[in-house]
Amino acid sequence: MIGRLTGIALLISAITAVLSYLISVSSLPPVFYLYALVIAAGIGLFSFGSIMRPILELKDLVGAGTVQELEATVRRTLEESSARLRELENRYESLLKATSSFAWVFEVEDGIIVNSSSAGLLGYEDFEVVGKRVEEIFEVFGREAVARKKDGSLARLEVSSFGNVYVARDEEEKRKLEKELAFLRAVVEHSVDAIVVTDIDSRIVAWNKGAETLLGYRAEEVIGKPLSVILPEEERERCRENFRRAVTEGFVKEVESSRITKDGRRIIVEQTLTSISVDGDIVGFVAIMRDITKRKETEEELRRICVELERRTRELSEYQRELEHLAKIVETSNDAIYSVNASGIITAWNKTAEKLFGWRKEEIIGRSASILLPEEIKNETEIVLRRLREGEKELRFETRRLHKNGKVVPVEVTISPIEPSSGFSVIARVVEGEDFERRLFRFNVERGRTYFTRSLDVAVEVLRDLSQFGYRAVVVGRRYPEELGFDADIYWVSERGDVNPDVSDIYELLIKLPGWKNAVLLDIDCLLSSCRFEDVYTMLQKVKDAFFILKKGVVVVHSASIGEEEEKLIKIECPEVTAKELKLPPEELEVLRIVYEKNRMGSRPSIKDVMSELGITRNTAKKRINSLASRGLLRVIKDGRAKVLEVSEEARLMLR
Amino acid sequence: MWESIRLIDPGRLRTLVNQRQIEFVTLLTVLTIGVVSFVISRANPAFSPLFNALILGIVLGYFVEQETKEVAKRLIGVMLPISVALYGFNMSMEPPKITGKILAAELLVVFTIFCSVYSASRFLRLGQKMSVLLSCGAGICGVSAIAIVAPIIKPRREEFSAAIIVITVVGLTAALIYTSMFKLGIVEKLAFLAGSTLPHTGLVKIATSPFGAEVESTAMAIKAVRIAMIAVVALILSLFYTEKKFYVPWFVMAFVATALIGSYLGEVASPLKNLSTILFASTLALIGTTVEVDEIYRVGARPLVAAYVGWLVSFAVFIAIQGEVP
Repeated sequence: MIGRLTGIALLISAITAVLSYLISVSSLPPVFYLYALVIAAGIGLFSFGSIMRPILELKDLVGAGTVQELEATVRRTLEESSARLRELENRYESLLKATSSFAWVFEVEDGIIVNSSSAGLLGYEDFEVVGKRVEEIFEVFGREAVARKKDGSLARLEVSSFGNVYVARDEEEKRKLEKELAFLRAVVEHSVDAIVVTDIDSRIVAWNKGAETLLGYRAEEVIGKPLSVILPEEERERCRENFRRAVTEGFVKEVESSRITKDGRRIIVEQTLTSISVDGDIVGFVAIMRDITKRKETEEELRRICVELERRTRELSEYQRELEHLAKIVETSNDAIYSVNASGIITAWNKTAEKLFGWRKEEIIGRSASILLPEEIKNETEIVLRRLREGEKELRFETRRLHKNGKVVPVEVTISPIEPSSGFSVIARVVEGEDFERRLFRFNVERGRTYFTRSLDVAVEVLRDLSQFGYRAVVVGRRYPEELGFDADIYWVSERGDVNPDVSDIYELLIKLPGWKNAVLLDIDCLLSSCRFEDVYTMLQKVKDAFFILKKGVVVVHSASIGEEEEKLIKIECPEVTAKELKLPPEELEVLRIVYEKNRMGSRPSIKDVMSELGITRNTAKKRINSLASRGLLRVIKDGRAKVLEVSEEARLMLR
Repeated sequence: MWESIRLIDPGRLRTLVNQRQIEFVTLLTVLTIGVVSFVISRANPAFSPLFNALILGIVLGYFVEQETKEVAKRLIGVMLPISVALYGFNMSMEPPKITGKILAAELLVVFTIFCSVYSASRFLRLGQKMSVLLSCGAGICGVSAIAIVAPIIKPRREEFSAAIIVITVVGLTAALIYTSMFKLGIVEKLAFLAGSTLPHTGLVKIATSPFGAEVESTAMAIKAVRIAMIAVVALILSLFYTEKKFYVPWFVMAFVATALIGSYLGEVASPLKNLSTILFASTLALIGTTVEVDEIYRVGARPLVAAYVGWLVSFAVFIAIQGEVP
């Protein structure tokens, strides 16, 4: 040591001398001597450090202290060294035991085995082989040896020598182990799971193909790097905790954890972290990761779909409940409700409709809605559908419907479209009251009143009209059923008929008519032939009063033969029957008048005729004709390939 | 008020007050050392202010208590990145003012220094971080390069201190020998030799100033190229030594930014240069305070040998190519 220090001192001196000489020879400024000193000091410092390092370490080891302290330190150091040696010895023995199934360590001195460990490879105990000659155990002794086992069979061994210590390994066992190892290596290497082995400092030491595929890094890129290269920042603390748990518990299973791939993507993995221990010492960890990103995404998607499905099912249940509730409301409604599809076919029918119209549900479903319409408004369905198609939201009007038994039921209907171009629903409510009836009559007549008309046609039309509202048609006179064209109770007036041509009998008959809805046609022409006008007139006054007070119905007095004076007198008591006026635009009235005139002459004009007559375009003519048809004043009839026009009875009466 | 005060443990409160006091005194002291080191370097440019501050810090550290050293260690964590960031003002990022041939020759010499110092260090079984520190110190700009690279690669403090002292000693040796050899007429082209091989700017100045302003300015122009290299090297090392991918620490980016700003401002940035130098010197003094002398010399002579080998190889390369240098 002193020699080295002396050498260093000499070296520094030499350096200083050389540098000083250089400075003086080169006539450099004096400050360069300072530099030379600094250089020498620097070199000296580090050279001194190199030499003194062992001494300093020894000093550190023993520390500065008394002899007793030094002794204690040496004792402690010796104890520590002994403990370390014992530990190493234990490990060596453990190693030998662990390798006893495939390796046998023995020492040979002059051909005799003097020491042996774990001769279990050949089935011997250690004491059974110690002291034996090598030839007693081995048939052939060399690098590739053949030994005799305890059971007499031969075993091929591979023997390595370290001086006079030999290690014999069972070749078959070795090959088997190598095969197993290769198999395991192949399993690990080609596993689809990422298998990453780290050392105790969590630095990566093995990285299989699965890890390359999953995380993008090649093995040579990550071997030696910390595991943190694949961990997101927020996962690092959890990872540390997992390592701690793996040390204490052996393994940790992480159900879900994030990793960062080489291209920066974040994936979700399921990881099992297992500690690798050798003789109780943890030497590393193995992390097996499986990509569950897709699974998580699918789970998330399924969860979302499930929630959506639940929501929709809930909504559907609510709708269903609502529908059931609505169906109950519809079914038990006091209004008759039925629906009609776009083709005019009835598709729904409630109980009140059954009561109101007489049709049972199973009878009416599938039939045309026109079955419920009286003859004069047969095209109502068509008109309603057209108006709904044109965008009307709701139609409400008073109309008539036919009962199954043929009676007309006055109703107020509300029509709503179900869906665009898919039909409509009808809510029909029976409308009671004379006002309503009167509104629906085609003539200006009222119950309890008596009217006069010279036209038999008008009288018959009034009866026909009233009979559709439940009135009993009664004809008193000399009229045959053929003249009437509908069912009516006819009282033939003659001495041999139903009633005598006497004003008192006629009065009695009329007063005693049953019910309160009688539509009576009283033909006075047959009376006037046998009675004086004054008597007939008085009878009419009395009938008028009685019907007015009793509200027994409507009386229409008819005479075609009375003079103008008598007519005037009668008209004082009995106003003339008039058809209800229709408020028509003049241009439509013009069209109606042309068709009416042609009809009277026995021909039915076509649309083209109307166009040429009025000098209007086809569109304008069609528009006016449609409007009239919708009011029930005009009918468009197919005559072969052509369409011809005909006025309705109502229009005829109106125009007459 | 009293309740809240009583909630604080009096002992802990006293400790906190003491810590604040120690921090304040330590800061004040190292700032003083920084200023003194700066003044010394102005008087004699051979000794970098950073080297001066480190040596003075080591001397100070010999006298202070362990508690103060702990405080200094905490302060280093704050001051070092800031100092590096601001030290960019001292770095010139201007385009080289030398011809292409000289530039090529200089790059060859620098590359030789890098490789030879690194190889020699590794051959002498020095740690990788120590080898990088010595290579950067010898190849680029001495103490400054070591100080800038250190927070990136995070060497041990004794390695850092030893590297600074080693590079200063080797640089002084080279400067002294170059000057003598030029005076004796053994070598020519001192400007190129000093500019391309001497570790820090002060050494280039002392080696060339006795021979006129022209030689000095040429040497400084050559040296400027090596100074500019520190930004590039810092960025590359950031990429190598970071745990994250493609991550450059903020202070390295700030260092590059201040270097660009300083180059753009030119002479206007002179006060900033001085202030940042004083701040960096103070930080080096802090580092010196935390280092034990015996830790430094225990590093041994191997770094010194490696640095000398690097210098000798670079000198040999210079001899070989000096005929080609214009």
